[in-house]
Amino acid sequence: MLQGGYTGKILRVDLSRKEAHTEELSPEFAKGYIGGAGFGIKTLYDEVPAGADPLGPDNKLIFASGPLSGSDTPCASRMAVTSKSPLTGAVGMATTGGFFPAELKFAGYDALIVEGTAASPMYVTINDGDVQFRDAAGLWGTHTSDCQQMIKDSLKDQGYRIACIGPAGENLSRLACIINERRAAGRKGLGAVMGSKNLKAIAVRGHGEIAVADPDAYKTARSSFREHMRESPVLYSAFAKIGTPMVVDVLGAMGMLAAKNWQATGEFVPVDELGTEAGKAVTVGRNPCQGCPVACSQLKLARNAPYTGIMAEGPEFESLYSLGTQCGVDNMDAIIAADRLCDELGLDTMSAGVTIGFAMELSERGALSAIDSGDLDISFGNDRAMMALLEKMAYRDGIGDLLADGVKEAAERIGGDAAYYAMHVKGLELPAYDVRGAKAHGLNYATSYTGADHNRGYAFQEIFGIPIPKEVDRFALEGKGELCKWNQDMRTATCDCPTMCAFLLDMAVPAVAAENAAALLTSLTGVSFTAEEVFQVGERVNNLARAFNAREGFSRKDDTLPDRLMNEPLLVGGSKGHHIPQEDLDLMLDDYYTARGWDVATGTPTRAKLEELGLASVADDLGV
Amino acid sequence: MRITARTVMHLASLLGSREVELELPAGSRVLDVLVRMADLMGDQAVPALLRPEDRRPQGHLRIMLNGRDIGVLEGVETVVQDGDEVLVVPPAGGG
Ligand code: SF4
Repeated sequence: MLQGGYTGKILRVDLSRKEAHTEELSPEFAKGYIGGAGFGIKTLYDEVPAGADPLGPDNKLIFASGPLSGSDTPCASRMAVTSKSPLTGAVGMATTGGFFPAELKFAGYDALIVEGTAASPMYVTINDGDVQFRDAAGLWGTHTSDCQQMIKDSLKDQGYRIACIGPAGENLSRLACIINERRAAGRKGLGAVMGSKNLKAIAVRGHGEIAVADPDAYKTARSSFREHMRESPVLYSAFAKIGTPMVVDVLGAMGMLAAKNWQATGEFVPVDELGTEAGKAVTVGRNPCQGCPVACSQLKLARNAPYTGIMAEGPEFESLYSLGTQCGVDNMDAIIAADRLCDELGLDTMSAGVTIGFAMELSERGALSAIDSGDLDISFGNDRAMMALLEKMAYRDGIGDLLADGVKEAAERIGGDAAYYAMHVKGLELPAYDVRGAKAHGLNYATSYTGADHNRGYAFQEIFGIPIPKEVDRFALEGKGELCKWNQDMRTATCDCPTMCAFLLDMAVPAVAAENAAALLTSLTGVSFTAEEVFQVGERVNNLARAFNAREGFSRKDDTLPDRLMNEPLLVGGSKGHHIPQEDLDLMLDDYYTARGWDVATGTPTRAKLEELGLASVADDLGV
Repeated sequence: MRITARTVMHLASLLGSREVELELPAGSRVLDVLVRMADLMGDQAVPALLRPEDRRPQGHLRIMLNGRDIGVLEGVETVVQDGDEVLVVPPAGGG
């Protein structure tokens, strides 16, 4: 029985019929998938048929908080937003924090499933059990912060928490994200799915509380977690003050901070301009997620023309890459402004920046000469052109229409050898880590179920030298298949499903992540979990996501890396001489599929593995 | 022989630079490089790098030789060669 943590209720909303009803969450489901990404991917697999148009009425959008979300476990207000990605055609799952995830729980729901398509722009309000479908004609076209404020004003309640899209989502840019407060369920084009459903926003207000199954055991588990947080050599002492931008310094020194569309890694390394010290100088405040004592998230203010007075929550490390080094931009104020602009337009900072860097390289190579770019000088380092392109992409204006769907689509439309310069895996643009210097991290880009996604199997052993489960040589190939699997399953099991901020995994509980999650989940929910069972949920969810992708036609051939990473060794910096040629990738893939118990030739889960995970019916579906 | 010693963040502030060139006798080890870095930092800053009790590296530091964590080599006893690069990174996370 579900005694705590979970609300036990799923809200299903049909936009076509303007109907909403609740469903029960079963203890068996909780035990098998925990929640969050587990709930989202299971629902996606069961309910979105193979071949469904990601921007059509058959696709669904699933917002799922985990059982820990809304409880007083620190750093747990997170949710997974899951859909079939219009950017990749694969599973699109992104997590976001802030206050919305906990508020959904306070309103009485573990998850919200959105289906159908509204006939005209609409927003949905959820106030505990009261669900209303409202006309969004007056909101359509607004920036995300104005949209959120207008909804609060019109409902006469500033306590609503709102997830919405900006112009990018309305215009079906496949780089559009969903913004709640100033946070994003980024990447994979989830904002375009919302736009395709004519859904501008979801506003939620809750007044409930999260029950606790075993208060004494929960108190012990929570104290132990907080103790691990306090003992961390970095969490409070550095990360709370500097946040993610510290990774600029670290990756810069390791020769892994990708730059200028991955041509200038190790060469263009603006640590003085964009690193830790530069970040401190522009930080004016902090904005923690609900229930977070760390508060890594920082408000930064631009103080120099032409960006004077523009403030952003961020830029986080990844945006310092995508809107910074990737575009050859080392002007912090410009990146703050671009970060804010992306948030307002509802455009994913990472994919948008990588796409602009791609355009900059093509432009410098003369490959865009046939395309009308107006009077824009699209060259590396031109921050004004970057700002202009972000606007154009969100509104599909001129060359912006070409770039609005990411590098893979743009390269296909441009033709010639443009695909060589398109930095993506499965259509998802590459994150900041130049994985020529970190092989397990690269293998994760190649195999993650969402495409090139650092968040689905972050190799903190290689990036931060944390020797858990063991110390590794970041340049070596041996053992990286097993390590990649461990990272993917552990991240899914202990962060994406329960739900928990992933920064705590590597900085607070790397050695005991599954034990920590098991103790918290068991005492909070009354469903008993061992550490092994928690970890196995991670494996189950990764297998189910892989099965979804296999059903859509993905296989080993799609587990690849951009040609540049396979053909061009790094020329300078701390990872000089390294790359990932096809034979090295093949060797790691063989190891990875073997570690996963998948068919090595196709990369498809085997019947034996699926049965071991209780997924026999999935094996039937796949015909394996 | 010449060794490049590098570090980041607050350790770079203490060192006065993110990178220094060091002259060391042949046969020097990673530990010797760290001791020289600590000398350059001055007495106040030494504990950021070395434990006061035995002048061995603080356990939470990440130390790399030519990009590889020294844990997969011979640890601080690893002998360095002319032209090698030692990188010391304080605990970090996020991203
Ligand atoms: S550490 Fe940062 S991202 Fe994680 S919950 Fe706290 S404020 Fe949010």
